[in-house]
Amino acid sequence: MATPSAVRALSVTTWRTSVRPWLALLLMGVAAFVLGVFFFATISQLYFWTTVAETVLFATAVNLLFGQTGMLSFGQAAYFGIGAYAVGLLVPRDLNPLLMLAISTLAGGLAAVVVGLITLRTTELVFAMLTLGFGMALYSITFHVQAVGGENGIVGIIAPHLFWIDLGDSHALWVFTTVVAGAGMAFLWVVAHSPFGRTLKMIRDDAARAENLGIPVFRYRLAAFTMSGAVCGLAGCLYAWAQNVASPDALFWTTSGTPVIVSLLGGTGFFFGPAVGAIVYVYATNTLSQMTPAWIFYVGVGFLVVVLLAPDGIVGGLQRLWHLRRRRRRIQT
Amino acid sequence: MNAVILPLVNGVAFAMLMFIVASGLTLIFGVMRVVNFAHGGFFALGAFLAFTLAAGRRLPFLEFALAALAAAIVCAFLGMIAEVLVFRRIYHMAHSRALLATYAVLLILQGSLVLFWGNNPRSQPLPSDFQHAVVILGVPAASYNLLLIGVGVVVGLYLWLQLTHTSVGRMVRAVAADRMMSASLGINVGLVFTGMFGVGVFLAGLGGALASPLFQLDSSLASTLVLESFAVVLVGGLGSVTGALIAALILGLLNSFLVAYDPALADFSLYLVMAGVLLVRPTGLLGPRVLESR
Repeated sequence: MATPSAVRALSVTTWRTSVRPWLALLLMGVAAFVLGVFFFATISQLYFWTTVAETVLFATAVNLLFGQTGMLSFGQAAYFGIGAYAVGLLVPRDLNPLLMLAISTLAGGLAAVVVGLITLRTTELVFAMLTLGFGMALYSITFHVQAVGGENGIVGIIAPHLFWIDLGDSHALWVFTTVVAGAGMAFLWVVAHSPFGRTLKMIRDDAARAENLGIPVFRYRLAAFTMSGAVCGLAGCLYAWAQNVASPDALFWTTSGTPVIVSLLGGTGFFFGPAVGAIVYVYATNTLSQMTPAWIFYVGVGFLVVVLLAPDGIVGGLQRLWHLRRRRRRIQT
Repeated sequence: MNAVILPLVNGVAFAMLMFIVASGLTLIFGVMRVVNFAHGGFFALGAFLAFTLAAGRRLPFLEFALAALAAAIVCAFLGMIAEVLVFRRIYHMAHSRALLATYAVLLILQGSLVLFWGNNPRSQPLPSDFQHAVVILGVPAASYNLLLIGVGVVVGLYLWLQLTHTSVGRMVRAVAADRMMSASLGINVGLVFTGMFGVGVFLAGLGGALASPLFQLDSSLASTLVLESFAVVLVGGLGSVTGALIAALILGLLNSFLVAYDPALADFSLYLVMAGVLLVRPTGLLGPRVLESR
């Protein structure tokens, strides 16, 4: 797989001179945006942006596997769904929402360790199929077991009070969701840019060479799979609060396809690629599904175009345009 | 007797249906080395086309068979068009990226089902000659299931003869074994690819058409039954038609016997068996000795 230049290792000087200012700018922009939505958005817009926030986190977690480690899992919906169902089952206990977040994350991570231990010793294709199989096994359990609501799932999940703040209010939930998603993103950012994250890229580019250099490839892959599963569980928890439901649909294998589509759309080689992809994807599907019941047709066409013609996604395309402009300017001067 | 014969007939019939669809999938993988998610889309398309060609009416067997055959042929043509337009461009890609391209085609097909047939579920009645039960050893079994078993046997035999006893089959096996060498020996590899893709999709469409009286027809058909044929192909070994037959029989019988006791367990066992077999033998029961590693 081609590696875009943006995923090169981060040195201390590039961090000080070129990354930190951009990141600070981005953070301020996001904070301003969160407040802007909080004060001015209608309820439906709030709902839309809350969905975007979850999707950003879910897709970025999946991209830690797909983009950074080079492993295509078709079963990440399992951990997402486990997070959602964990919240659903804990509703009667009325716990602190922070504790619920922790439990969802832990549940997603634990499930991922178990599945990872079993599936990660296989090849690329078998891995994709086995993760899909485990996800669907979980789907069929939740679909048939009445204790978790059967095919309707667990309905009426409302976020509890965080100390004195009522998270059942969609304004409060929006801010809470963005803060949690932001924390999740920060965790993934640190992982992606740590020596550990760089080793994952090496494994993606040449697993045999990494193995020969003495890197325990299996353990690194397992760690990446676990982290991804844990953050997927966190995203699932946010999803359950925003949608007020944890249904088997959240576990169905096509749910696993969505974050992969989103990542490819934005650009799998960039940390913020999935985030950009998520905004475009949620906006596009929202608009399309209001216009036509066959919206999935257009999603398919768009996705196919991206896979065939734009392998580095929207961010990659923008970056190429940017470099083109700079080169032209350099030629002119 | 009742508790054994009935699940046995139903299980073998379901196995044959899975085998017809899965053999197409395994042929496409064997020759082109692409795991084709779009197969489920063509399966659903075959079912809907059969429904439209039969106008949703109860037809005598011969007319229903003609409708099913026509539906499968239309699928095959669409498949060959898709091969030329899309699939050709993904053979050289990494497995995972190619997989995603086929997933995109699945979404397109699923969307077109809604585009052309709308969101209301449809149903196709059984052909009039096959709506009654046949008594086997004192147990009444659905005659349509016997028809499915018959078609499965014919398809299996035909594929086996074609692949092992004809020059076309030899050519296909040569391309599957080594495309570069085959091309340099003068075999038109592109034509074999398009043709085999057509055959594979024909089998998906045929399976869909035969399944149309058994399932509620809506667009989710594209993403449900294909998973069972995926399990069959993986358990049997990617690329092996005989393996697909054995796996289909194992999974079909397991499924039908478990359905009699606990439906939840039936779905679950499918994935459990798949995981178990793949862990012990990552290449499946009769797959190649070594799969290309990542």
